[in-house]
Amino acid sequence: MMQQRCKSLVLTVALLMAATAPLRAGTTEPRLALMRATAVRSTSGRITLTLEGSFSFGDTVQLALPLNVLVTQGEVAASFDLAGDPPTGLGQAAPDAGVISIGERAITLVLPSQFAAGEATAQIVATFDGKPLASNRLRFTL
Amino acid sequence: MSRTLRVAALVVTLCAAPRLGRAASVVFAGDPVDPSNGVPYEILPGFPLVLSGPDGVVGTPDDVINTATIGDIDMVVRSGSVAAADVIPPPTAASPRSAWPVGVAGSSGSGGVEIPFTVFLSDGATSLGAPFGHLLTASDMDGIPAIVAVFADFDGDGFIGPTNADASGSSDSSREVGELEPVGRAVAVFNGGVARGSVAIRSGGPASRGGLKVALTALALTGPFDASFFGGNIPSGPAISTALPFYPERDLSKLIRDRPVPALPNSTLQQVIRFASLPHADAVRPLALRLDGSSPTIDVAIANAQPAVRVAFREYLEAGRLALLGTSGPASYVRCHLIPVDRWGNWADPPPGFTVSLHAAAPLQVLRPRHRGESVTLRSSSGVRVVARVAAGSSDGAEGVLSAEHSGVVVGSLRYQVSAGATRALADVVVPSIDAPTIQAAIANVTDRNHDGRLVVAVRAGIYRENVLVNRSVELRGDDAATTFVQGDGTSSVLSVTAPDVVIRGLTAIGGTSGFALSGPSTQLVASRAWRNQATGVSVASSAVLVWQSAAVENGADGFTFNGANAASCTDSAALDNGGGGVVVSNAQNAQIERNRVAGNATGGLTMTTTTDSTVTDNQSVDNFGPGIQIGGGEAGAGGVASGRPAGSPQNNQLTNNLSGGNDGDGLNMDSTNGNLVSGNALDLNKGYGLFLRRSTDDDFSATPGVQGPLGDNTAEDNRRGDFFIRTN
Repeated sequence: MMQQRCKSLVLTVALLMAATAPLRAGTTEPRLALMRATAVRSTSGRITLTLEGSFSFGDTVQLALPLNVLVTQGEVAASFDLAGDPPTGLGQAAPDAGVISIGERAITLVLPSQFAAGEATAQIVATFDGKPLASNRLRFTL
Repeated sequence: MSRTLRVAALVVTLCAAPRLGRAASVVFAGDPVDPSNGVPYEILPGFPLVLSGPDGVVGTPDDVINTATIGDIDMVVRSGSVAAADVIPPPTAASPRSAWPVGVAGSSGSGGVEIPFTVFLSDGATSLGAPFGHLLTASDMDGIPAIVAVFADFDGDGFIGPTNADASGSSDSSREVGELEPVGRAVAVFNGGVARGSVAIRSGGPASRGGLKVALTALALTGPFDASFFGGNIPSGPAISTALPFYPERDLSKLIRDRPVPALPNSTLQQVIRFASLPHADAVRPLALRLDGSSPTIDVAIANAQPAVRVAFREYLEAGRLALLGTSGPASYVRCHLIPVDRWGNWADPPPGFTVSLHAAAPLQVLRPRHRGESVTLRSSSGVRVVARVAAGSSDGAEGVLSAEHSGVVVGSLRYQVSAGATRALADVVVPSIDAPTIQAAIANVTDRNHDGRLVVAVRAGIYRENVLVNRSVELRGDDAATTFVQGDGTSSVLSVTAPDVVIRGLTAIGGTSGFALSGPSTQLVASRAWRNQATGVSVASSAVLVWQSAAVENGADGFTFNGANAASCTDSAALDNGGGGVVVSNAQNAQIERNRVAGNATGGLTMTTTTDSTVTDNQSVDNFGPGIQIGGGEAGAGGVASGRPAGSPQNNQLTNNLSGGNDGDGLNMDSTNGNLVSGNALDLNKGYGLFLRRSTDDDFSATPGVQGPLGDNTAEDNRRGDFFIRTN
């Protein structure tokens, strides 16, 4: 049952990614791009992930762009909002996880404990002027 | 006419044509006009008329200043939503009209509280009863956007921008340069001479310390919207503004990199308010804004930080910054403060019981707090002092992380790298000093006083206004690129290196034709920055030059160019938001371009022409306005502008493990190439092709033995024109 739920969540996130991919930010829209991921592991094994990139920081501040960061690893997928709320999409609470830093060229987030060492991807998605936008999908190793 | 010249001519035409002979807004009534074209001059309120000299930049030594012509008040901004009245009200800082509006840092979508503002057009007719003039209901300004920019007083001295009038005098002027970057900007539209809105800002201070004082300023281009001027999206008339902490850049082609769109409250906005040159801290009429209410056209507000959720190593606040530590001596220590910060990186008050524990990966050892690995409670915004040291005998190149944990997760980290080169030799001379009042004087006169076989010039934090010729084999060691500026006069490169074996560390070059012109062999440029120079940021034209941990940001042309620079390397550096390409390599052999971040450049990311036996690996080239990576001549129309470069025939290069995504052109554009290895690259979500291959032979697209065709072991997904395209002609 749990596995089925995970699969459906992954499918949902994947569909969201697929839906947003062709509509990458245009020249007059907020520019979204990810370029580098750096993971730091705590003594208990929890992972803090810093994503460097370019995401129209000034507009993010003034226009309150509803940016979300989607992180996936195999069948685990989580969506983080910039307000720092616990991520959604996991099917169970992850109260210690969330975005802890937003900077001009970097976003740092604490991953839920379901994420472990291995390959993962990240992508920023947003809505602007009623249209979904997405960054490139960054592959990295946790 | 060459393509470049045609583009330049178009820009000039766009900028100039609408200004000729057009009617001015009534806001300019009675103001002085340029007799050559009848257009009103742009003058800051209360300041004399300043016209740029031959360098075309205002605020530089060749300016022509007319002290008989003083700018009047055309517009004012007030914090709060203020009712329109005939007489423009005073700023909150100067009267008990209301309490200063208080904001909380961040956007409304992330817990922030915006600061309301009101912009008034003024008739400039000031008197005792109306010291800020009267409301001017200029109907020809209806629908014109007013841009409000907010600046923060980070050092709490009551001024925005470099000033010697504060309690610290000239000692902190260079640190005040950081106050010249807006921390928030918003758009409101004039109606009946008034524009109202609210601005979100990203900076705040701990509420326990009174928050952070910020200044609200405003600027507007007067109408009309001419179709021939940026597509009719931007008003084409002269600008009016409140006081600003600098002379603003007025060449819109430098400010608008993207396609222009109308400035509206809910539209994206580019970097439209920035300085043309660094203002003088000791000018007769200083531009630094006073926040005590005496500046009539601006207003103030207070911004608090959000509650702390993480910590930062204060002396290493820049995101992603790497601490370079020596193997011995003072440079082998980390000495800093661990401070609580909010989600936006602002210094903040810690929540009750906010405890952290410090953990260092070998060879770094935490010396203070003494109970390392155990919890330390941050009781106030002051945080705690941290001292760590590289263990004796550590090897060159060792890397690790110093991390701070809270509730079992890392909430702050500092990456470090041990580098023998960071172990500082003793300085032979310090700038400024009696012996060396300028950097140039120090270079001319330095002797090996400490007999260590090196000539070391230490440059203290500050702003040095000189063009420097480095014609001796010296080390120029600035305090830090964030606080040590060399401002050129716009007539040549800021730092021109002609001698061999020069080392430049920790300097920012700004305001030159180029920032660093490196023509001395075996020069090293380390932890330095070329920022807002007229043309190229860093120009390399000699062999064995090493660029490491440096940056080229917002320069008018390319970020880094390596032309004829054999065995040069550019590693762990950044080329961001430059007006040309990010990193451009031509006529070179055995170049190493590794682990660089290249983003937001106007004509493309990484470009290589006529380059052989070179390595391009582990770079990230994203969000550029042309192709992400281009090797050879380029395809006309694929993101376009970079295709104007001369075609070359790059051979035997290794292009591996790069990311090229989200660019307006192709991810990887290869034209007339031969025998290159292209392996492990990720080419996603570009607007052109992922891979465009043309007129190329014998390139190998996989690391496995034997020659493989595209895509091989490279990946390409979701590219708008297609993931790959191959042409033989």
